[in-house]
Amino acid sequence: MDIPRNHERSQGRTAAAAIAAGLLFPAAILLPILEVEQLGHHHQSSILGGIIELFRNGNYFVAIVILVFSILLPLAKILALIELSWLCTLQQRHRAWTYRLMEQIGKWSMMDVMLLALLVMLIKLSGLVQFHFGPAVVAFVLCVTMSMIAAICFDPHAIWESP
Amino acid sequence: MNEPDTSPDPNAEAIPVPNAEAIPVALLQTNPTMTRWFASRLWWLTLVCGLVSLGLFWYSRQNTGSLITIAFREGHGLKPEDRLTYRGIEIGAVEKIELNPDRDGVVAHVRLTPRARSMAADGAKFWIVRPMLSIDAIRGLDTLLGAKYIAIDPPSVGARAQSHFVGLDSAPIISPVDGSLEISLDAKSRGGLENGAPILFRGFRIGNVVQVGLAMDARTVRARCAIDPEYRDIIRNNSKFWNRSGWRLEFGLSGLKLDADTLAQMLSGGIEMATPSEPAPGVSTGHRFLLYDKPEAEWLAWQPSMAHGQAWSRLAPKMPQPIRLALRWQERSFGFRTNQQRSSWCLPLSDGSVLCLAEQIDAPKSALADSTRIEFAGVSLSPTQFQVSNSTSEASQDSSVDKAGRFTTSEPIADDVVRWPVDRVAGKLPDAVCDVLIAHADSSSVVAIDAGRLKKTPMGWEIDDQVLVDRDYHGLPVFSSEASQVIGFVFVNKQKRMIVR
Repeated sequence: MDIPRNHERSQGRTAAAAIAAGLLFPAAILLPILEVEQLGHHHQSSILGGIIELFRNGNYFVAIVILVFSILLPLAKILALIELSWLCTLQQRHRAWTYRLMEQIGKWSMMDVMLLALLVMLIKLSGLVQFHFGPAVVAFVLCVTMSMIAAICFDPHAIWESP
Repeated sequence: MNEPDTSPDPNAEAIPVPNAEAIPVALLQTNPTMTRWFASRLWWLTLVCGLVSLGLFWYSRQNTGSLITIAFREGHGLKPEDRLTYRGIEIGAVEKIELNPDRDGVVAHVRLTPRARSMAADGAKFWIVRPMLSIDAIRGLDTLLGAKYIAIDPPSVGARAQSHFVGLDSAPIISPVDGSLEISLDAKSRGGLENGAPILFRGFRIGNVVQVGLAMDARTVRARCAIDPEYRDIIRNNSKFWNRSGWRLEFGLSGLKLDADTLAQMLSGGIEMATPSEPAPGVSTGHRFLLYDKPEAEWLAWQPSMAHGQAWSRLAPKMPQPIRLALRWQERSFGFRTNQQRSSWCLPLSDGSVLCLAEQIDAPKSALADSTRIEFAGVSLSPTQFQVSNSTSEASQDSSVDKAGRFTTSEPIADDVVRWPVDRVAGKLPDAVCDVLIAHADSSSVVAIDAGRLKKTPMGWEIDDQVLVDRDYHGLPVFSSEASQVIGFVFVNKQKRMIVR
């Protein structure tokens, strides 16, 4: 048995972490992330629900910004990582293209920033209203972590190495 | 760009890499690349993350109640975030409210709390609570300042789940409690009666009007009433009902007289009732009474003694069941043999003996020899067929009043005779008077006597004149609900009504 080559190991890890992030992603955006209680009124919203609400209220710009940078781009990044780690099925040229795309997407995917925004909100508003984090927060944090791990584990050299 | 394969992985410390031996080579792949691809231990983390994701979805499903829609004709200012309340607590909230497609009503989307999920079932009634100020009712004052809310009349347990409901325009008719006695009252006119008006007995609420409406033939106004389960024994066949709605203003020589009981009654009206001092048997659901405009003076004087209440309802099946007993003998008067008889009640006991008044087993001296017989439960006993076994120490007590006697017989008695446990018979009257019930074969004739109506005398307890105990009660066993024992017998003669032992 030959010792596994480095990039193959890295691919395995990237795939594992990226798929984990992919599994957590729906939970992170669909489940309620914030529960607000104000004057006896109880309100909870998920990320996707919040975006839909923004659209309804006519805040198209904010809605599109959040939709693109917090949902579409992170999702694309995760999918690209999964694709890249599945090297054996891809053409080399395609691989290189996907990698560059992933690099660009990664810069604009703001999931981690959103987490920060949530924390700021918690600290700022905790005096005014009662705040609870919903179950999606767990999924969200894990999802961010897993996609980071996937990005770190990814060894770009593998792209130019023939399998 | 191509790095040698043996170069150390920059993340080797962060993520442990399994050595070659630990690789599950048995994985189905023949392709060694794929095998290595799956070698990473990080796959465990993937599995865990997948489970966490599923778990969160499941948890979230458990914690979000079901969404129901309720169609109303009017919104009455209901807003999103308004509550759905039941028994004063929030069990759901309006998520949104919108016009229905036909524009002839509104649809409220309500999210129930997880615990209240079972509320969304067939038979649930919803209505919007709003302030109501009218001549006869003041309701929902809390919604005058605060938010409107939706109230619910819950479905029966085990009803089929539902998610679309049609809301009511106003609060529904109060559904009677299980076990209530439902009767209908016919009146000539409505006379200020409202749904929910109280039915009063001596000014005490025993039930309420469920619904007032015209009778089928429109000849009378019919009020459907529900009597609370604990008071159903108060309603008898010969009870009288009259309307005491509102207030009566009388202007006469003596001046102005305003007749009103309470403000609430003045506003919502009420029905008063009375049962005669000789209560007839009880009625069952569906019985119809006449509703009079005003009471007759006599009705107000009635003072029946009736066992009632939850304690009594529980007790009723456990009451002693007395049966009739007759003592027959023959006497010679003016040279003729005449038949004489003395009848009263007796109580068969579980040890085979029979408890009754002593006079019932003791024929007078004038009786002809061998003519005495005791008859009860379908048997006729001659003096040789029964043995008197008087357990009470007769000698120590005053002999001017008859005491309880006890006899045993070897003759077979019918099986359907209910026998009273012998250990629940007291040896003597308690030292202090207590509340008692006079057991009767017919449970509607059971008389309850308050301790205050009894007076202790050396011979026994004298019963107050106010309590109706007629001649027929002579010999009935007296039961103390407190001690749950038979403590003595009723003794009635022309002068006295007593409880003796």
